[in-house]
Amino acid sequence: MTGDPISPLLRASNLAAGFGTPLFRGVNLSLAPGDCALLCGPNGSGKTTLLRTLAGLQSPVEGSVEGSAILVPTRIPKVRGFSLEDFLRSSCFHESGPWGHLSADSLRAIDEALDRLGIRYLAGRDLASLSDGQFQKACIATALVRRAAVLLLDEPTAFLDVDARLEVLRTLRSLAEGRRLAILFSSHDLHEATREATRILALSPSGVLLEGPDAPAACFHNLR
Amino acid sequence: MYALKRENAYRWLLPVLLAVLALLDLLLGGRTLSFREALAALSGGGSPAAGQILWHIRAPRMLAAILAGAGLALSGAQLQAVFRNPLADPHIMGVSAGAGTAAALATLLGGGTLLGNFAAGLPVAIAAFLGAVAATAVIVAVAARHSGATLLLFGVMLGFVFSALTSVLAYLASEERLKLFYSWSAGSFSGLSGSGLLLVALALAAAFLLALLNGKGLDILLFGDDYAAATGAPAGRIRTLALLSCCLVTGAVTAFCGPLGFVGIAAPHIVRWLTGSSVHRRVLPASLLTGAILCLAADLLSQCFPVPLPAGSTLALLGIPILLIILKTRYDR
Repeated sequence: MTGDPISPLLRASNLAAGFGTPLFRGVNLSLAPGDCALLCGPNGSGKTTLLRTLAGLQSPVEGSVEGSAILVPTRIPKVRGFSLEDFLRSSCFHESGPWGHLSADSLRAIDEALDRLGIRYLAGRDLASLSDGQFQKACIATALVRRAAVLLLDEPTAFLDVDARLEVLRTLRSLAEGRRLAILFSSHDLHEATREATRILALSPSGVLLEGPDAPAACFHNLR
Repeated sequence: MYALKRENAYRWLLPVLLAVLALLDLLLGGRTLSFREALAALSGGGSPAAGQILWHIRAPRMLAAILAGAGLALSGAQLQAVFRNPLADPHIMGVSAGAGTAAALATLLGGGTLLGNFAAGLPVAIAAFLGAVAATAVIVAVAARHSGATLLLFGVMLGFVFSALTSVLAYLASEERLKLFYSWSAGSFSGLSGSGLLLVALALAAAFLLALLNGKGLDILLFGDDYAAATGAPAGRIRTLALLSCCLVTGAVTAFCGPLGFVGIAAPHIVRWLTGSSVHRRVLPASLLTGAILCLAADLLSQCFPVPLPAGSTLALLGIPILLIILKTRYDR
């Protein structure tokens, strides 16, 4: 499922993307199994655009992306009247039949995702009654249900309290390690995120992707 | 456990309530026939006049109430998902107003009579249907580029424009035709004969099938366009299919029964409260039944008065208190 451990699961070459004027150019990036990469950068630097382009939801202006990835967007509403299990079933849009019925394989994938994220005990609970941290895990589960090999997350820790932030970040790290997934997530919570991430990437205001422990300092003036 | 019991209860509660109200509407729906006479006619006895009233006036009116309620509730449930707004219904979105303007045009500027038989009312019904189609076409075109609040705002504005056009047409009309138009616009279940019932039933069946096939897409829309894109669901196509389903059934119902507000908003809310679920494979069929129940109850109420009241008014009088109680208990938690 995750392929050869050495070969990358997702590779972006000389990527440029944006609406009209590209927000970034010349981005080269490879994500391999086990990677749990933080993507940081100032507001407007193009983090969401990069994630959307890597997920194939937006066409690049230049360059190419090889491999497929699933993006978990930010700010998904907690719709009242959906149990967690209903929510996971709804994410299988293409995997379900015309009346919404799921194959045995998809049902097994839902079971596995609930176990992997430790949220089986919440399966029958209404989404509106979940805490923000529990709901974020549910959102991550929707990508696992669809057998994602590369998981992209846009601000998974936004609006979470400290405990929930740490729990979500540790969950991401353990998913990457345990399931040999490649994970790339954007976050502004640099202090916690840099501790849990195995790689640190930063998009500078000038549209250049930097990598390494010092990359955030090159993008944020107050970190220097 | 309570939620589980409640979820199961609606499966038999709604059909039973519908059957009881349909029977009561036949037996008590009007002052021209007493309960005993209606019961005798229903069991095959009674006078020929009683049989005539029961089977040719009350039964079609009862069926019209069921079809209209079911159709408008089905539209409301879909529109509330498309616009992610609990206020959306065909009345608010301008679809009914579009039908109204076209009906006004046909009635006031030389069309047939809505109060007569099916053949005489057909030109106005066709005009109303085309009006609903035109309004929906405009909304579908806008839906291709916009969603959520922008689209809803556009629909409301479109409704205002159509209402203004209808007012201008009414202002220019003769008194006789004006009365005719107002009796249609007040809403009534009495204007449907056998052929009209068949047409509305076919439109409802097609719209329901379309809605059921689109149900899983409607679920996805509730979580936003970004989530839809992430799951690979084509949000634009889902919205277009839902609007087409709404147009089909709202156009047919409004053409024959007039613009009936409220049921499209209320029925899906009642269903979500009753079932504790927003999943469309449960909400759509249950809305169908609940809309029919609301319209039957409104028809029964409207027939209780010395002069039958417009169904549109009794619908609002009956349903608004129910809706307010549900909103209070469901959203104030």
